[in-house]
Parts: sequence; C-alpha cells; structure tokens
Amino acid sequence: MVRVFTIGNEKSPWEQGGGGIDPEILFSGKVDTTNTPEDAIGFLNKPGWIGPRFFELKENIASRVLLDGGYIRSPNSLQMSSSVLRLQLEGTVNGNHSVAFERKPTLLNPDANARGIWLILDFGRLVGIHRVRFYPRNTLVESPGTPNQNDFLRGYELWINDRPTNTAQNAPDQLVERNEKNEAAVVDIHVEPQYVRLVKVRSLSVTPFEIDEIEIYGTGYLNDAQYITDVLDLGGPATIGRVRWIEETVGQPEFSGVSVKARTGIDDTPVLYQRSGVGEFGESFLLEVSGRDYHELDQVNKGPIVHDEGNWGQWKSVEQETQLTSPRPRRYVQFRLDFSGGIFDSRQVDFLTFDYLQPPIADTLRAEVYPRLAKAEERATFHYAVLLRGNDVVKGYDRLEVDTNIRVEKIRNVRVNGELVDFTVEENETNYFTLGLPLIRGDKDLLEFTFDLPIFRFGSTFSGRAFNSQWPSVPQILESGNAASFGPDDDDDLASLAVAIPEAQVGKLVGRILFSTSVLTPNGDGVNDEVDIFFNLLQLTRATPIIFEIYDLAGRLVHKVSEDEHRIGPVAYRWDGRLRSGLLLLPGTYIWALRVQADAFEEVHQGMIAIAY
Amino acid sequence: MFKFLVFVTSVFAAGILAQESGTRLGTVKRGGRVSFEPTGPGVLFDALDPVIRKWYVPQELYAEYGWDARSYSNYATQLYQRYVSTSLEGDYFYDIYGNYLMRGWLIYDWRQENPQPFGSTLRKSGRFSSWFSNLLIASDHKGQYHYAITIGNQIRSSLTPMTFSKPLFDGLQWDFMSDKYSGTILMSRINEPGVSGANLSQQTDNTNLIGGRIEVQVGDFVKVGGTFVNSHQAYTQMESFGGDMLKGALTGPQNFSSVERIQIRISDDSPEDGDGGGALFASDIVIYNRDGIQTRGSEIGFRPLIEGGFQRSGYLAANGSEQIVISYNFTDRSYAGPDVSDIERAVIELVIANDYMVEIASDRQGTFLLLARASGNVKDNSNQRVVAFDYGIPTANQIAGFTFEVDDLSGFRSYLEVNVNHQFRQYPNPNLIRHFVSDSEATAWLLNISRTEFPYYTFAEFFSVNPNYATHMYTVDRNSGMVDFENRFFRYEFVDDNDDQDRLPDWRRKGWESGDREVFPGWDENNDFISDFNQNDNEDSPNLIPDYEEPFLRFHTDRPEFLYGIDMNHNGTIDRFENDELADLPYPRDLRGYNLNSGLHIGSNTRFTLGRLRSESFTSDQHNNADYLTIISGLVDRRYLSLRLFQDLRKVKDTIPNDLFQWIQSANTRGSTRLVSDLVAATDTWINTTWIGLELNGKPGLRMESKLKWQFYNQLGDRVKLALRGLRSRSKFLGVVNKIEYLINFRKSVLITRWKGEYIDESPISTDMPIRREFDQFFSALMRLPILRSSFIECGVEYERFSQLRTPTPGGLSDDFRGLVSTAQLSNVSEYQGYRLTTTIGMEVARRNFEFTEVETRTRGFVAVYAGVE
Repeated sequence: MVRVFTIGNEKSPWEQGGGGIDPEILFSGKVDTTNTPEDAIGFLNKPGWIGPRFFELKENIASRVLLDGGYIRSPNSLQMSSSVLRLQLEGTVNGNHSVAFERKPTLLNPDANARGIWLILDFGRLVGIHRVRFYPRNTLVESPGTPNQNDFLRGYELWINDRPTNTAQNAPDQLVERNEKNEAAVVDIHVEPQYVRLVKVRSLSVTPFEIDEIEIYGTGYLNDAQYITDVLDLGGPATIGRVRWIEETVGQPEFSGVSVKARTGIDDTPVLYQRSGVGEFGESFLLEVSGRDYHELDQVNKGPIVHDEGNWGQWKSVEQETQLTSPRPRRYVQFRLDFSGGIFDSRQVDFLTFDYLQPPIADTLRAEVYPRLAKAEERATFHYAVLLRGNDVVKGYDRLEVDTNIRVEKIRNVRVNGELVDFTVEENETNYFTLGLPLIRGDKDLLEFTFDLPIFRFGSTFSGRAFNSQWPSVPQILESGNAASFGPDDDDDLASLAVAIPEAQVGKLVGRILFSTSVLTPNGDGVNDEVDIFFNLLQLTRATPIIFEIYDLAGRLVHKVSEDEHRIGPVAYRWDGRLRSGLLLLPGTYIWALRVQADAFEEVHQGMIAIAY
Repeated sequence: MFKFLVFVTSVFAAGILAQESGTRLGTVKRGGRVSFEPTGPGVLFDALDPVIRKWYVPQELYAEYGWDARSYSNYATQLYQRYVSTSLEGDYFYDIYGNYLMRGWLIYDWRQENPQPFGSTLRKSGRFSSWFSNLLIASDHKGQYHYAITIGNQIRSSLTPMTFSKPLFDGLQWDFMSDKYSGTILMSRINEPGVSGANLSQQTDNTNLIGGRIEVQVGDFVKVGGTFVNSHQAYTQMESFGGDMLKGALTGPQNFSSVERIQIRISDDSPEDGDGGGALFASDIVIYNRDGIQTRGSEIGFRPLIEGGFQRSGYLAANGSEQIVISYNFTDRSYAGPDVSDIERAVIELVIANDYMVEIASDRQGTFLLLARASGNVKDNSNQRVVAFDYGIPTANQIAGFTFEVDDLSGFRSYLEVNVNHQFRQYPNPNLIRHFVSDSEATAWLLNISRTEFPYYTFAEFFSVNPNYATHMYTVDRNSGMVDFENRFFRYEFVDDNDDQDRLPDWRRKGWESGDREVFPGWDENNDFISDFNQNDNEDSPNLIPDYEEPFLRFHTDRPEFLYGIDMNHNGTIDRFENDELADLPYPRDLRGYNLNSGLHIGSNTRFTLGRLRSESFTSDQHNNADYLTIISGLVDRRYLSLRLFQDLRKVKDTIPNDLFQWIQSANTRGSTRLVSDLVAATDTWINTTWIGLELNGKPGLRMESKLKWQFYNQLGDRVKLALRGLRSRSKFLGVVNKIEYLINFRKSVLITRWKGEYIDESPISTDMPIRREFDQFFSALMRLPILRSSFIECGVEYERFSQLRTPTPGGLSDDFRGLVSTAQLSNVSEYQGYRLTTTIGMEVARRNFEFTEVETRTRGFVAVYAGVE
C-alpha cells in the first residue's frame, strides 16, 4: 500500500531528525552524527519550520567561536602558559564571570605588556552582527571578590573582517572604532548589521587591563546552513514516489534558495568502517566492521572510514514534486537540505514529505531499447523490453509509461514472456505514451513490444515508469540495462534506453527540407495553387524562433511566410503566393530562406522558388 | 664597488706573487709565464733517485730544495711562515675544454645534467648579492653589434605585452642588437631560481623557462618580430632527448604510479541564471594500451559512476550550482580493459550541450583543471556536440607568435601581434619512458591601426583573446616534486599584474610572494610612491586622514569624485585609475571585438571624436557595446586664464562585469585595496560626463579655480528589472568646487586667505546609497612670521561650514555643523652635525559644533624633529 512519510510534523519533528537512525556523515575522514552541522539550523524562529539560524538582536553569539572551525586567541600575549591563556580566553566568551582575560603584571609575569595586545575571535564562518560589548569584572555583573572595574581598556581598536585577514589578497580588516582615550568601563560599540567572520579587539594603552566578557550580538540569518535527516528506515524495500516540501521565502526571493538532495541505501549506514590488518603472507587487507566495533579497535587497526559506495548511492538533487531517481527500491533513505541566503533574506521549510509503496512494484525493473543507433529523421522500428525481478511479495505493474520526443506509431507485438497479450494504448502524446497491460508481477517476467518513430536528437532516451493501477501515485522508474537479447548484434554491455544518431549528424538543427512543388501557380486551378514546406527540427530541447522568408533576386525581403517558435520534430508551412496585403506576388523567380535562430548560432537554409500564373 | 676593487686588486696581487714564487705556484712556461692549465702529473726527472726512505719535502720541489730526507723544523733564524690558504684568493676555474679561466670565486653557476638524480643544480654565492647586488652583466660590442648577458634577481624583462612581461624576472637575459636585427633569450629555473648565499640547490624535478624574441627591420617602415616563450617541467632522471624537451616531462612523484581513477566534472558556466547549464547526454572512455590497441569502455561494460545532475528527458542537467561528476575507476570490478600499468592513453568522449564547463582530475593530480567551456550562454541544446579529449597532467605551456609593425607609412601606423598558446599534457604511467602527449591550443591577437592627416585622425583596434589563452605555469614544489595546481604561490606568471607600473608585481605569485601592498594607479603623479590623496603619509608618521578632508590641506586637494577620464569598460571607475587582479594583457581574456574612432581637430586646442566599441565574451552572452562622442578642448589657454572642457556622451550596452580592487582610504586608516564590484549599471544606458575647469591668475597673489563635473546615467531598460537589481533609473553626480586664494606679503610676513566651496548633488547608481545634496565651505587664514634668522611662527585658522541640503538628513550622512580649527606652529631649520634639522613645535585645537549633537573638541600638541641633507 502507499504510505506517506513526513519529516517536520509532530510525529517526526525536525529536531529529532525525522525519527530514524542517527545520520553518519563523513567530513574529512571523520564521522559526524548531527542533523545540523555547525549548529547552523534554527528551530525556534518559526516553530515546526527549519531554516538558517536567525539571531535575535539581544542574542550574544560570542560563544559560537568555541564551535568547530572557530577559535579565540591572542597571538601576542606572550609570557603566559598556553593552558592559562586558553582558559582565560574561553572565559571571555562562555559567560563565566569569574574568569577574565588579564594583561596585568604579576609575580610570575612582571613584564606582561598591555599595549598592542590582540584578542581575535574567529567564528569560522559568516555570522551577522550588529553590536560588540566588552568590560572587566565587577561591572555589568557584580563580583565583589574581583573588584577590577577600573581595569578596563583605556584605549582600543575594534576591527572586523568577513574573510580570514589577508591584506595582500584584498581581505584587509575593517576598522570599526578607535578610541585612544576610553573612559567607559563598559565599551558598547554599534556595528552596521553585516556578516563578519573575524572580530578583533586591540589594546592601544599601556595601562594593564582585563576583559571579563566580550559579547557579540548577532542579527539576521546565517548565509548558509545544512540540515541532514536521520537515515529513515522504511521497513523494507520500497518504491519512493514524488518528493515535495513547503517552502517560504523571507526577504527577496532572488537572494536565497534551498536545494534538496537525497540518497538511498540497503543498509543502515552510508559509511563503511574498515579494520586494517596484515595477512599470513604479509599482505595488508581491509575488513568491514560495524561502527561500534570500529571504535573499540586499537588505533593501529583502524582503517580508513569511507563512503559505502556498494550499498549506498550518491547524493542526488531532487526537484519539487519529482520522483527520486533511485536505481531500485531500497529500504533506507536520507535527505539533505542546503540553505543559502543573505543576512535578511532566507528560506524556511515547513515539512518534507514523500509517498512510498511497500512492497515495491518490483525489486528491479530493467529496460532497454534496440537498436541504439538510428539515422536522424528516418523512421525506425524500435524494440523495447522490460525485465522484472522480484520475489512473491512485489506488487507488479499493469501500466507502462515511456518518454519520447514525438508521437510514436504502430505499437505492436506486445508480449509477456514471449506470448502475445492484450494491451491498450491509453495515451500517445508528443512526449510520452502509455500502455495498459495485464498485471505483470512474476520474477523474470519479460515484457517486449515494438513501435516506430523517427529520431531527432542524439541521446533520445526512452526512459519510463511502471505503474500499478491500484496505487497510481507511486510509479517505479525503469532502470536502464540489459533486459533481453535482440539478436547477435545486441551487445549486453551496451544495453540502455538511449538511442544515438551518427556523429556526423550531430550539430544540425534542420533536416531535409521538402517542397510540394518548386513552381507555385496561384491561379486557382487547383494545381500547385499553394506550396507545402516540410522539414524536421532536430536536436533542440526548447522552442526556438524560426523564420521562413521570401526574397527577390536583388536580395530584398518580399514577404515573411512565418515567424514563430517551434519545438523539436516536424514543422510544416503552407504558402499561397500572396503577400501580407493579400496581393499575389508577381510572377518570377524568388529566393526562400529558412532561419533557425538558436542560442548558439543561426542556421540558414536557402533555395529558389518560382511563381507563375 | 669598493669590494669589487678589493677583489680586482687582490687578484692582481696574487698574480704578482705567483710570478715571484718560481715553480712553487703554477707551472712556469716559456717567457716566465706561470700557467695553471690542467695537464695532469708528469714525470719528474729531477727526483728519480732509487731510495726507500720517505721524502719529507715535495718531490716536485727537488730542484729548489734538493732531497731532504730528514725533517727537523727550526725557526730560530728562518721565522715560521704559515701556509697560504687558497681560499683567501679564490679557486682555480677551468672551462669545459680544460682551458684555465681564472683564479677567483664562483658567483653564479646553473647546470642541468641528464640522466641523473639531482641533475639540476643552481648556485648563487653570497658574493652574488654582497658584491654585485644580485646583478651580473657581461657585455661586448664592436661596430654596430652589441650584446649583453644579464643575470639578476629582479630584471625588468618584456618581450611583448601578450607573451612575457615581468617587472621582476629572476634569471638570465641575453640581448643582442645591431642596426637591423635585435634579439633576446631568456632562461630561468623558475621553480627555484636560487637565493644568493644559500646552499647549492640540487633538484631532480624542476620547472624551467626559456623564451626569446627576434626583431628584423625590413626597409624603413616595417619591423617584423617573432616571440617564443616555453615553460616546462623537467625530470633529470630522464634523458633530455628522450622526448620533446619543450613539451616537458612528468615529475617523479607525478609518475610514481599508474592512474586508477579519472573524474570529469560538468557544471554550469553561468550559474547565476540557474538554468540551461551543462547538459550531459552520453559519455565514454577510449583506452589505448602500449601496443596502440584501442578499447572502448562502453564495449566492455565499463560504465562510469555518475553523481549529481537533474534528470531531464534524455540527459542530465547541471543547472545553477548543480554539478555532474563522472568517475571512471580502473580498479572497479566492472573494468575489464588493459591493465592500468599498460595504459598509454585515455580519451574521454562526452556528448554535451548548453552552457557547460568541463573540468578533469585524477588520483595522480587531485585538483580539477579546466578543460572546456561552452561558447555563449546556450540553453536550447543547439550546440550539442561530441567533445573528446585526452587525459593528462600539464607538463608545459608554450606561446609562439609574431608581430608586424608599420611606422609612418603614408601616415599609417599599425601593430599586429598574433600568438598561439599550446598547453601540453602527458598521461602518467611509470612503466613508460615516453608518455603520450596531448595538447590544447588557444590564440590571442590584436591589431591597432591609426592614421592622422591633420585635421582628421582615425584609430582602430581589433582584438581577440581566447579564454583559455594561458600565460602562466604551475611550478614544481622542490620539496615534494608535486605540482599544486591550486596554490598561487607555485603559479609563475609570464605576464604579471602591475597596474601601477611600478617595479613590484601587484599580486602574490611564484617569484614574488609578498605582493604589492600599495597599488593606486594614476594617483601618484609626482612619482613619490605615495598616494596623491594622502601626500603627508609615510611609514614613520602615518596619516589617517585623506588630504581632501584634512584641515588646510583640503584647499588644494579635491575629492576623487571630481576626477575626469575615459571609462571604456563602464564600471564606474576611470580606466587609468583601475587596479584589478588580472595579468596585464593589452585586452582581457575571454573578449573579442573592436573599437573604432575618428575625429578632427578644430584649431590647436579642440578635438572631436566619434567612436564605436563592440566587444563580446567567448563563453557567455555578455557584451560591451558603446557609441560615443567625446570633445576635449582647451577653450581658453592664456597665461592668466585657462578654461578647459571635457565632454563624453555615449550610449552603452554593457553586461560584462569588471570588478576591481581599488585603493580606498577608510576612516582612520592609511588606505588599502578593497574589492569594488561592478554594478553593471549600463546595460542599456545613456551616459554623459561633462567636466569644466577654470583657472584665473589675475592680480599678483590672487588665484581662483573652479571645477564642475556633471555625470548622469539615464537607464533605458526595464524599470522593474532595474529595481530588482537595486539600481536607480536615473542617477547623477553634479559637483562644483570653487576656490579663491589671496596672498599678501607684508615685509617678511605672509598672510594667505582662502575660501573653498564644495557643492555635491548626487543620486548614486545603487539604491543602497543615499541621495546626497551638500554644501561645504572652508574659510582659512594663514600667517607666516619669520623670527630671528631661521625660524618661523605660523598661525592658521580654518572655519568650516557644512550645510546638509536634504531634509531630513538621510541615514549615514552628516547633519549641519560648524567647525573651527586653530593651529600655531614654530618651525626651526638648523644645521647640526652635517644634517639639516627641521624642528616643529605646535598645537592644534579643533571644534565641531553639530546642529543636533554635542560639541566635539579635539586637541593635538606636537614636537617633531626631522633630519635631512637638503
């Protein structure tokens, strides 16, 4: 039956990753198990929705420098042990008011200088900020045990940068404020709302100082963010239908976006853990182990962690309301949402949902077309085969939809396992046709049929989908591959659903141009009163402007027979020898010109046509 | 120079000593000449005594000292003399024929010996820098024939601007010139050209450059030239003539193992439109083994792993940020072709269309390298084609071309330059001695023609620079022997970026890792390497206020907005002030087109020009088209009155972005280069720029100056699209500056009074910027009183009145205010210990009285002493 899986509703909230198996994502050889890398996804801004994290104006985001990729450091604070320095620096951003960054002479460090000391906060990514505040202890927060309220920075500079500082690479720091004679214990600086990566404070005074907290107040959305769902267990192999999601734009839609990707697998982790070892004869080997076993291995026995290419597919982009192009029904599926935007322009997603059919229509539906090479424009006969593989529980199919780029003709010889069967042509459109069939559900059941049509483009692909009419909303995509043998010339390795045209024909936009007559006699006698012009438009994937014109022998434009857009396939014109005004063209010899105004070039064909009364 | 004299003197002295040492140093030849020619040991007839006892005096000195079989040293009468160290006066050097060259010091030595490990050796002794300041010149001439061999670290070398032009070339330049012919040869080991005083640099993997140019004068008017530049990787364990040296060689680490995986990446060449990106219809691989037998991947069931792309009917689309990655893995179980150790060549075939960009990588290379790009921004599949290319690692880059120059032939002047660039690649396989070489070709050419027949003149320029025309080479890392194709510090440029035309390349590249921190083309008209907009800035005394905002100095210096010039790329910045991060080719890459103009002189001071510019990108549908009229006129040019007019009216359709890195002096900084994005504000636009300048020097001491600049953009395009792009449909800049200065001398005292008014009415192109309408006036008086003999007291007061003419005041702009700056300074000039000291003591008080906020007061006191010799 068709089921619906929704991520982002009450049953499978975003915060829980969709309620599956924790994700295992490979980053630089390490495995991350979070749904929100870099803590970049916000759940609270609009309950039930996700999007890039939004910072309220009052939100102090300084502690984000302690996340992966960020840091806080003071490179020229010498004469301090690195552990003490790290403790003090972290104390300035973690809200602990008992620890401060100090540059004061002590017994152990009588020469501690204060002037020129840098305090550098690197978020490791862009964050929107609008305010920076720093102060010593016992100022904003009372701490009578450390009455250092007068040890504030007497002179300072505040710098920002949206990239790692590199003056030569045109990424110099920007000075926000310089105050050489500061008298305020609590320094509060307004910054124009903008993305920054680095915030730097520099001391300009020789007076010893301390900083209890440096607070950086965020604003706006993160410019990019990623959400990765859990590995969703569908309980068994399933055919996955269309994927859709509800998306909302904040600000200008041109400046933000969200792309959805998906991958499917046959086991519960897309990561392959390996144990390394040495064999009996000194040869090294790698052996697959579970994640739990891997973490218990000695360091020397830990082999590389890699993407499990054998059991999991690659991330593939999914468009709204389209079906996953998963090669075959699989039990596990995982989604990834990549958000991009600006400080006040963003996207948010309410929920993501997809249908799935379980058990599937088939374990595999492999299809091929033969022959795989045909001359452009010439009507050819194609044989099509679909091989079903599956056990007893698959649902099978009774409808087949095949993509084309022109209406097919003479669908015939429809056989299942070699026996002719009844069928109906339910639809025959310019871009696909549909066959109604008896239910086909047995393992190794082979459907074959034949049809005619001309090919107009290299790579014409007869991709298709199989439906079970009981559950028509979840078709199964046909997998391209060897399904049947069509004769000694049918090489199994080359089997596919694509048909090529000879290389020499690649590049032409117009095929043969046929005229019903070369002499037009518009005298009303019923013979050659009109001329029919016919040609095939090749190769194009979009409607393209085509102009058919008549010139006199002096090269002057006399008449435009047609100026219109056409798609790939046959095009026909009819002309009665009259001008736009309705007057007949004078008898004589004229030049016709056919112009195809494609993006890459204009293809022009010319010829002669005569008019006689 | 002093050291050089010492050296020459010591060598000369050494020669004299040798003459006096008999046979003890060198071999005395006929005429008493001492020779150091290598002859090998001979037979000493004098010392043929058949004895067993050991000799205690060198047998070759038998003639002088006889046979001394005892050794007792007594220095009572003959005082002990130390041995003379040969290193004190240099070593003996011989040429490859064994001819004795000289006794001296090795200064520079570059050799390449094949086949052997560490075959490339280069040494620059410490004396190269300490004695010769990193520059050696050997030269000779006779009659009309001259030549010079120049070896240096920082030679200004240029062949043609399209092929080789570097402010700092580290290598050898060999020049020849005669009346009709001239020629140049350039050579350098560019990955490690040597550091003076460093240890001998020996390498197996290295990158060399050779280049040259010849010019021949044909008749009186024509000069024909040929240019050649080649840079290639070299591997000294291979025989030099084992392959084509100019096509380079794979380095040892690059060729350490066979290729196991080839990856091709297809993406959207114009991702910003999110549509019509690369379309992949089919792919295949053709593998050739060492016997030349061809195996087609599709015929053996060797299918690639394809990731990414949107599935469309019949093809995969890489639209926007989407990418398609095709991986051919030779270790995959489905691969049944030749063993990887037997593969000599692999050809990838793609059936692709639309606006594609194709890059390739492998496990031997790592980084994706650009291979092909679609021409234009095609979206309808009309450019569908089969693209086939060999996989290989870049081993050489070569440019060969010619020039044809005509000088004043019937009034015509022309210059034609055509260059063909070949980029060579080789397929790695350690089992091969000779590797299959593939290459790609790109051309670049230009033609300039001009003719003047007074009062008419005409000029035409035609150009085409292919986007793949490469003037760089990634060099070998001397430590790893690998080539990092993403690291700009290993990227050697034949043509450097040096927009300010100083001696330092602007960018950071191989051979010049520090870059140029101060790049402000056109803003240094007095050539002191300091921005003319912050003239009183230097390292010792940084100045953080631009001169056009600094009290007193701002009278003479006007804002950059008041500058006038030609802007042919329509990015809002005058061309001669532009700084980019691109090689200084005469025309940008990925551009072809022409520019024609013609005009006439009216009188001696006025010039009308009508012109047409048409240029387009190879790889996108971007273009830059303009029709323009310019007038340049010195309307009045008298001793006391000067009136000048510049006028430029043009209709523009420019969709090519030209981002820049301009020198910007932000508040409280000394200035730095910042990215200035081109808003592409003239996609269908009328642009007018008018500049009028008036100078009046009438009565003695009185000087008046006025400037007016008026520029407007009138957009003809769709208003909605403009609004979406954040552009105003009409934008303008109207600026007027008026200045009056009057100087009164009273005995030895001088009183200067000044007034300057600056009116700005601006609607910026970007809607993000507020509309400005302001009037700023400065009144100042300066009094200079001499006291005693060499001291002055100078007092100055400047009153500023700023009027904000917009109500309410837009965000980010200043309200009305009044400012007063008062200064007093004592200056003294004294001679002291051979120096001229200039001492200044003074103070400054500045107050600003804002309309709505508190009064700001700033004080400054200073004592400064400067020492000079002038």
